[in-house]
Amino acid sequence: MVEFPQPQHTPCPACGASVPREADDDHVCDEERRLDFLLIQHRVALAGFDNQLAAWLDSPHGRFAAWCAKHGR
Amino acid sequence: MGDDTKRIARRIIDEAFNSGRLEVADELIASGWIEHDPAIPDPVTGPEGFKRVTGGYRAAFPDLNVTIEHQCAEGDTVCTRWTARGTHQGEFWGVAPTGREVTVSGITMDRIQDGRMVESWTNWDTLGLLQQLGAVPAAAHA
Repeated sequence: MVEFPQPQHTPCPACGASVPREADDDHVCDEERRLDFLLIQHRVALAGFDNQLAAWLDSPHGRFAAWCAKHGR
Repeated sequence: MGDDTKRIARRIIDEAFNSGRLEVADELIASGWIEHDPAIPDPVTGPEGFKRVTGGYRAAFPDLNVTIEHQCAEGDTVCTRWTARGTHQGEFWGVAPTGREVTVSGITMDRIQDGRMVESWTNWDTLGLLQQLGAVPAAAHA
């Protein structure tokens, strides 16, 4: 029986680095890559937060909060 | 002849794919060049076609790096076995950026005339790429 093809490399689920299948036990995540990977994973949520913050800052409550912050109140 | 054809194929990989100097296509790819690649349904022709496709790969994988594993040449044809590695940071074939680093291999044959590529044939591991991106399952279960 012919098995379904498998890629020779797989991305590490924690950091996204390409790891040879036969060496995945030896892989150690690079912290910088892990952070970059997380940022890409959450890019939609981060973009949503930016949009929500901008909308709130443009609301009466947001403008008042920004005014208070600017004048130290 | 063999060393010249190898050098041209190597320059395309080093300068265009790895360094993003797509203008090298104007020097090394003939106006009538045609690429045969099952992964690309529409015909790719000439330096502008090369720039469009290669630019698309580099936009999706900005750190793209292609390593030449082996080259052999006969007459006006050079065969290159390569491995490409890159991080998926831009949309590719409709797949939104995943941040995953992928490694795929392939083989390209280029026919050279008068110092320029005139025809190329490429086969590469597109299934493996899509599996690594999570776009298709890496394993099928009965």
